[in-house]
Amino acid sequence: MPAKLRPWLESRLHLGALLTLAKEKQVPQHRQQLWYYFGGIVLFFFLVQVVTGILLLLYYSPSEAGAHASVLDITAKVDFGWLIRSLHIWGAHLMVAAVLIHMFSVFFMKAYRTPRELTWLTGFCMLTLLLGFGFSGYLLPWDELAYFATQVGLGITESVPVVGKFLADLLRAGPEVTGLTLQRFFALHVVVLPLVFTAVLGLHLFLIQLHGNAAPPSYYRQPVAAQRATPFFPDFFYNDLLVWLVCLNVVSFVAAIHPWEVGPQADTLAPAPAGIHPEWYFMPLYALLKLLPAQLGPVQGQQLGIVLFSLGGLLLALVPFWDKETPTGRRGRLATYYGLFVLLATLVLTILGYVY
Amino acid sequence: MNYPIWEVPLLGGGWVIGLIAIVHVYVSHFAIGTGFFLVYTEWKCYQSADARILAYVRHHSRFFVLLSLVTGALTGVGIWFAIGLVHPAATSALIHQFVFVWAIEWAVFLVEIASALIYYAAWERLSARQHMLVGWIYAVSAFASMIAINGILTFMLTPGHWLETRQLWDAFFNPTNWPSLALRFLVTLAIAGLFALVTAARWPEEADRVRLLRYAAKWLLPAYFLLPFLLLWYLSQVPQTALEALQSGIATVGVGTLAVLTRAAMVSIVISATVGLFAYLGPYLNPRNFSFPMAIIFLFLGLVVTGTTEWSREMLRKPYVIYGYMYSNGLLAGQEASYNQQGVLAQAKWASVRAVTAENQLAAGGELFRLQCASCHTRRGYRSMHKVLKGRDIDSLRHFLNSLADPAGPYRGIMPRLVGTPAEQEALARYLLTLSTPARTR
Repeated sequence: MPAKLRPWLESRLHLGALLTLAKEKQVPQHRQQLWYYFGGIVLFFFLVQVVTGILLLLYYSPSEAGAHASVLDITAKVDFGWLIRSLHIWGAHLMVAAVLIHMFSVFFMKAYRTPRELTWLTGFCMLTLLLGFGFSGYLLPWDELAYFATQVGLGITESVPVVGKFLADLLRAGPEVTGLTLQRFFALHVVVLPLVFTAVLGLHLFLIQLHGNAAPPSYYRQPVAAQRATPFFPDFFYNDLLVWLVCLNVVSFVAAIHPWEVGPQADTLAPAPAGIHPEWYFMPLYALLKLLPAQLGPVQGQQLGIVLFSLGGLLLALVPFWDKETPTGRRGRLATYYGLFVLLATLVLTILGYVY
Repeated sequence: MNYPIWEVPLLGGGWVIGLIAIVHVYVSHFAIGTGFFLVYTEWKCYQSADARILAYVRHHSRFFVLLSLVTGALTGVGIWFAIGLVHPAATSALIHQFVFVWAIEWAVFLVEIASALIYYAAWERLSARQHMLVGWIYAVSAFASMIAINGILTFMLTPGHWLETRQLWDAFFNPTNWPSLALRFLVTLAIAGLFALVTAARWPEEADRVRLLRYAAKWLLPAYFLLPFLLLWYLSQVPQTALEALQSGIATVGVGTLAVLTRAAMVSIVISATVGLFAYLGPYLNPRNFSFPMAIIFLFLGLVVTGTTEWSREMLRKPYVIYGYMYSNGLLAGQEASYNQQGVLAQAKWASVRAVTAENQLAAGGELFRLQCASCHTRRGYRSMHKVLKGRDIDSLRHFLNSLADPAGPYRGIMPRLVGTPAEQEALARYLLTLSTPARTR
């Protein structure tokens, strides 16, 4: 940095104070340190989504008549449009995967414990918002698969007891998936969700800075002198950059070797093609609903499935409040067993969803 | 034509060779570069009387012998098996042309193995001077082995004057031999650095570990700065027709219709660049926190670069296995008229059907698929014919095969020219229909 620029910036931005703060921040050093990188990986993919999303916005036309044609143009005519679109879609998939890994690692390290309950809740909130991004973004190319998968998804939303029909109608802008639905999904995808997500992400990051990185219980059982830590800057920061480089390679590799295709334009009068199913991250819910019989006594199978799934999610979201310490000072094992059950159920249902 | 066809379902024969060859290339380049790494580092240790780093060199020599001799030998033999089974015609052509080169390579290989074992086992028994001499013998013989193999590999893409003279020296000293040799040598040094990072990251003494990591990272520098220039030199020697596939991809890179070859080349360049950045940000700038898992990830990136680069090089050669001489399905270039007049089946010594009749049309078509298509395409796996031809009816397939048979057709330069009598072409079209459409709609 030129000699004159540094003091100029320093007097206006207090960069020195920021650097001191970064140097003071310590990252606990233990065998599970690897999992810390997944928070940074999520942030990296979020940045990829922001940059590629803005670039796609320059050419995308959010209307029933223009959406599919504009996506075709992006893929076949706009310079590097195919790559940007492919990076956006693959980046989204990888981001969901990274969020899930991050969430389960935080769960099993019991990093949600006091005083980090709000950090956990904001993280859980971001997961649901991310699924909202996935659902709303899926319809935007307005191709056959997107159209019918959205119909299926909104059909599920409609089954939610009490508020289902209201929610589905609100999203669909009427009883059918039409150009108006596309506009609403577009508004959700590029305005509402990014605004809310960025705010929650900001709060999440602030809380992490406030409370520092949590370590697994075994770390705190060591004597204080044995609790080793790595300075965040520059040591952990450089390693974070290395991991980002790996992520950049992974997303570039899959985006270049398997660019995302565009299906035929949605025909609202045509019957749904065979084998329509949602993206992999919605598969557990989809599989559960398909496996349940249509009617279970007085209750509809689909409604029961949604209630069960929602209760399961709620239990997971509220884990910091019911996972109490045991008299020996250790956290109860019930939460760990519950986490294992959720993980196993997610995997099994996903596999079942694809097999059947 | 002279050999039986080994058809590998789903994966395809090419990938059987590819998977073994990519690992072999990576490990063999490691073995060559590490020869120079070990003996040069040993020499530096004696110069500076650094016994601590010398202890590391000794430790690394054990890792080197175990990995290079075991994996190298297994995959090396594996390649011979694989190419013999998947592409016997090309293997036979290469053996006939390069028999003396291979004899020299095997002799050099023996020296290489013997000197590597002595280098590892005789740290205590030999004087420093003698030990280093053994090290240099290993490094030079390993490099000589690469000279031999590089000459054969580059011949397959650029046979040059050999196509007219059929002389060994023209075949060996072909247009891409020197640039490829220079490229590969720099890559061997970089890969030696990558593998050294793995053992250095586990070195127990922190101060020495930091020095070693920085030192190993520097071995990537020559490749990082010089490879782009050498790559341009290499490409300048590749035939224009072979470059067309790549260039058409580059010309349309912005608009997404680019060839998979270009996309693989892009990936190779992007990952190569990040490997250099990785070396700078990780082991060089932050060696204290460069862990063993990081080194393994780094190593894996190197493997991906090797894989995509070697795959791109192989793809450049399409539609030939020996450029301008033998197509990738084993048929000889320039013999098209003979295949068209006498028929492919009649000349294929191991074909189960020798002529097309009304009764055996589908069986004959299946045999023609194996003879002319199966070296690159599978029925429903890699480069799936089912996917490529999906939805085509019989007229569309006939039209498609006609364009493949046309010497000026749109697929020239990408696919071998389709040959055979009209009856064989019709049998192949009928057979392909079974792949393009579900049974009930045919």
